[in-house]
Amino acid sequence: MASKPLHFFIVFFAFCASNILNAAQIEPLRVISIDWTQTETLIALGITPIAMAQQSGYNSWVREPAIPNSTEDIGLRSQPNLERLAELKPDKIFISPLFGSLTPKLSRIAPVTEFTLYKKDNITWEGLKGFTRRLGEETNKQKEANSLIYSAEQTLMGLADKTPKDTPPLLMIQFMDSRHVRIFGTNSMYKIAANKIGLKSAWQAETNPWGFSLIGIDQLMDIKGQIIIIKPLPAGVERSLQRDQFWQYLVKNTGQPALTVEPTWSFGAIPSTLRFAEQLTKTLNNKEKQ
Amino acid sequence: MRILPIGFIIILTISVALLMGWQLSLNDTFTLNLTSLLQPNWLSNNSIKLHLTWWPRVFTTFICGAALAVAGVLMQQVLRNPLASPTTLGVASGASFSLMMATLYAPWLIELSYSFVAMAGGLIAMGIVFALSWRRALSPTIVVISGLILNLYFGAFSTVLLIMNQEKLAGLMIWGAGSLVQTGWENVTYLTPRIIALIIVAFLFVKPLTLLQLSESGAKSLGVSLTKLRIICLGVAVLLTSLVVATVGIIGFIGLAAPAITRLIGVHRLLPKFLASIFIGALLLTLTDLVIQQLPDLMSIMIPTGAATAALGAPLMLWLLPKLAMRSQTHTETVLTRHSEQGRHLSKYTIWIALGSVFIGLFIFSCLSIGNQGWSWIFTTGNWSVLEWRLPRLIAAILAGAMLATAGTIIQRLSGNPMASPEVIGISSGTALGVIVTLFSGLSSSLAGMYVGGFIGALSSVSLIILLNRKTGFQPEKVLLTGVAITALMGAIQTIVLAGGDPRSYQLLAWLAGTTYYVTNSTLIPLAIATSISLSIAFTCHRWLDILPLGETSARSLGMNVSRSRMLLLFLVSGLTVSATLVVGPLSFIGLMAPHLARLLGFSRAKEHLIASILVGSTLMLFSDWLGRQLLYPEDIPTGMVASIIGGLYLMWGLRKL
Repeated sequence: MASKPLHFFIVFFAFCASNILNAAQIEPLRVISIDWTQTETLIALGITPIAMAQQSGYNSWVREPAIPNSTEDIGLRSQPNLERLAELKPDKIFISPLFGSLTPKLSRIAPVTEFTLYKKDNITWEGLKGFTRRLGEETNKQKEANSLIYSAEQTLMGLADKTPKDTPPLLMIQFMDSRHVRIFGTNSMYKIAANKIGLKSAWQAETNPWGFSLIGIDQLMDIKGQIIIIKPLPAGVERSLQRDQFWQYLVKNTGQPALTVEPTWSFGAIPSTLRFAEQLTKTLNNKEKQ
Repeated sequence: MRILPIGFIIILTISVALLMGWQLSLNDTFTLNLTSLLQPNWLSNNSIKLHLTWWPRVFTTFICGAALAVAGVLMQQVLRNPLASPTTLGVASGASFSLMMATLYAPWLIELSYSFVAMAGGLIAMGIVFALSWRRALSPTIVVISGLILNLYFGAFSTVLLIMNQEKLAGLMIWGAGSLVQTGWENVTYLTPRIIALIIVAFLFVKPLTLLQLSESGAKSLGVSLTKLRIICLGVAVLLTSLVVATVGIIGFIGLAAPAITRLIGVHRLLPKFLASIFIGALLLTLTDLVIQQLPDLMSIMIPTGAATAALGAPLMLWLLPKLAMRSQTHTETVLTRHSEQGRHLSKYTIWIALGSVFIGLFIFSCLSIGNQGWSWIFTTGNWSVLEWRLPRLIAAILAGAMLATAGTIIQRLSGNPMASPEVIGISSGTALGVIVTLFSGLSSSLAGMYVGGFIGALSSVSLIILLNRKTGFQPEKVLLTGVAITALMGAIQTIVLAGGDPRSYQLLAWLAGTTYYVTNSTLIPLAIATSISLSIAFTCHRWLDILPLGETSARSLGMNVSRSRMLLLFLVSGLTVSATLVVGPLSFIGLMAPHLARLLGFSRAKEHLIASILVGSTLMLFSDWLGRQLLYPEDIPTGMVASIIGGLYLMWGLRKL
């Protein structure tokens, strides 16, 4: 008779275990990410975040991968709407330490995972891989993370073969107004992309933890290299560059025509890196053909 | 006395010449570099760089400095306020706002002409200020207040736009910081003839302006048309400012500092004052810019000159301050702060009704809101958990509103200056500086760290104010100038940070905009205690507040220790401001608006003025906090910004009637 309770317990445990397993399979993790770099990687891993911050901004700056339809908007990255967050009942919230002051409040809603890609000396291909793997672990998508990394490496290798070998070091700039640019160098995603396809960056001076320096275009004077202008160009800049004697001279001095590439998110992870590398190869090849 | 001004200008000139000579002797021979001005060697990189960037930059700084200095002298002369500066009339903020709007919603306008958009914005701002003060024949006080409100108004809207679109507006931040990088002679050839013509026009009015300096009635009796004089002089000043702002960006402080320094070194007659200011303004800006170009690599890149003039000018101003001789009562004779006999009386009932409506408001606003399923009334959804997020914010808004309103009322009555507010005397700015340093030096980005940093910043600015003003018996004028200098320093550092494009600035901007977002339950209790203690102290001091606006002599003859009471009140204001600023950020402007609104409602005796402005301040903040969360749901508009927008509208309407 003593075996009856035992029997009951075994059945009970089996029941619970199967329930838990079932739940894990049926109910996907309800994830919310505040930072665009995390969002981009999450979507690339095949996860649909239940909510993210500033969708309109994501659509105009990050663009791809596209936001799934069911993902809700929770407002600004610096001040996500707490009432809405609480109502959405997430299982996990990802934020970047940039918005670290939110952690105490957010952790009353759901466990908060705080980590970032963008800190000094972390932006290398290894750093990008580590970031992707970490997100994969946090969301039980280790396999997807590894295959994302693998396929990215394959694509980049393919692109490296297609890239013209005689390209001089790159001056990768993004115009802020007609006289100031952000120049990207060490610790920037653009530089990793360029390196991965066999190109170098011409900017050797210091950069901030986000991989750029803000400079006036007069600082570009004595640097030799291929100028790569990363879009979007602010309104009116294109026209004033056409008239700008100094800019004309600067470009002539580099010995190469300035090239323009389509926009990609400057502070992205693997998906953005891949997109930028593709744009770069395409642009350089077009130039060769002409 | 004669030697000092000339000596000062000579020292400035020599330093500029030395620096120019030093920079010209680099890379190539001095004579070759010098000839690059007119005959560049088109085969040498160095020569081209000098011809197309370095030389135009020197000329631009010189001409812009001169223009801003003239604008400053004109403004201070016409408005009879030593705190007036070219940005007082809202020119810069108008230009900045129109550029933001165009960038976001009509980029084709910017394609057409960048400086045209900026100029139009500046001129529209001037038009509004003139329209608001027209009925009072452009009386200085009304002009100053209209300009101030317009500044706040545009500033509030711009901040909202900036928070929502920080990436798109990154370029404008550089313009706002006044970078003087040049790539050709276009700006110089555009600015020079126009600015010289305007300066000549300004010189034609030296004589009538001198009469105005003596006294208003004297000028009138000598046949000077005040309105015409004011329109022309302010118009010239605004044109000069908007030319500079439109082409090179916002350059702080020169317009305020050049005339102040001129006065300080003992130039009082108008014609020499004009001439000395022109030289000092031009040389100061050129010197700053040359020094900045001299800085090692990365620093010279990250620091735009416009912001740097403010950062360097502020300590200069603080150092000069004790030497500044001033009349003990402001010349901004005050329509809005003067003691009036027929003040409206507050009945007990009104107070209770008003208090009651604050509580009913709190109840309604915490129950009604947009949620995931659109508008919802908390009783029907039964979702009580949202109160956990909502209630602390609403209560904090009420408390902060009350504290800032009290601080504002005290400081305005104390100083007799309608421009005074806790934001202006520099305590808010000190707090903000502390927070900026904490955030960006990597010390901490947690909330507690920001609070500690803010508190230290506030304490140091209060001690600075007290240290610098102890000897002079806390003359309101000087206290305000100290505040202006601290605020300029904070503004400069803030613009540099924002222009650098560091993503950490998102968080900073969010806090600076004045939001109750970061309030938690645990901060409410100390806040409530601080509010009740300081408000009761304020009420026990209300007799002082009735007497002080009468002037120092009357106050003394009534047996008051003026200097001690001023210091005590200043301490009280600091305490109020610090606690409120840590909660809602430094830029809420309730402290400026609530006392004015209360006065517009007709309450001018100290006690009633205090009660009315507390009620106005807290109601306004309560409503703004609620509205800010609904308007652009799910995005939050900072409470302080909404309050400025609503309150500013009423103030402008009220000004018309005065």
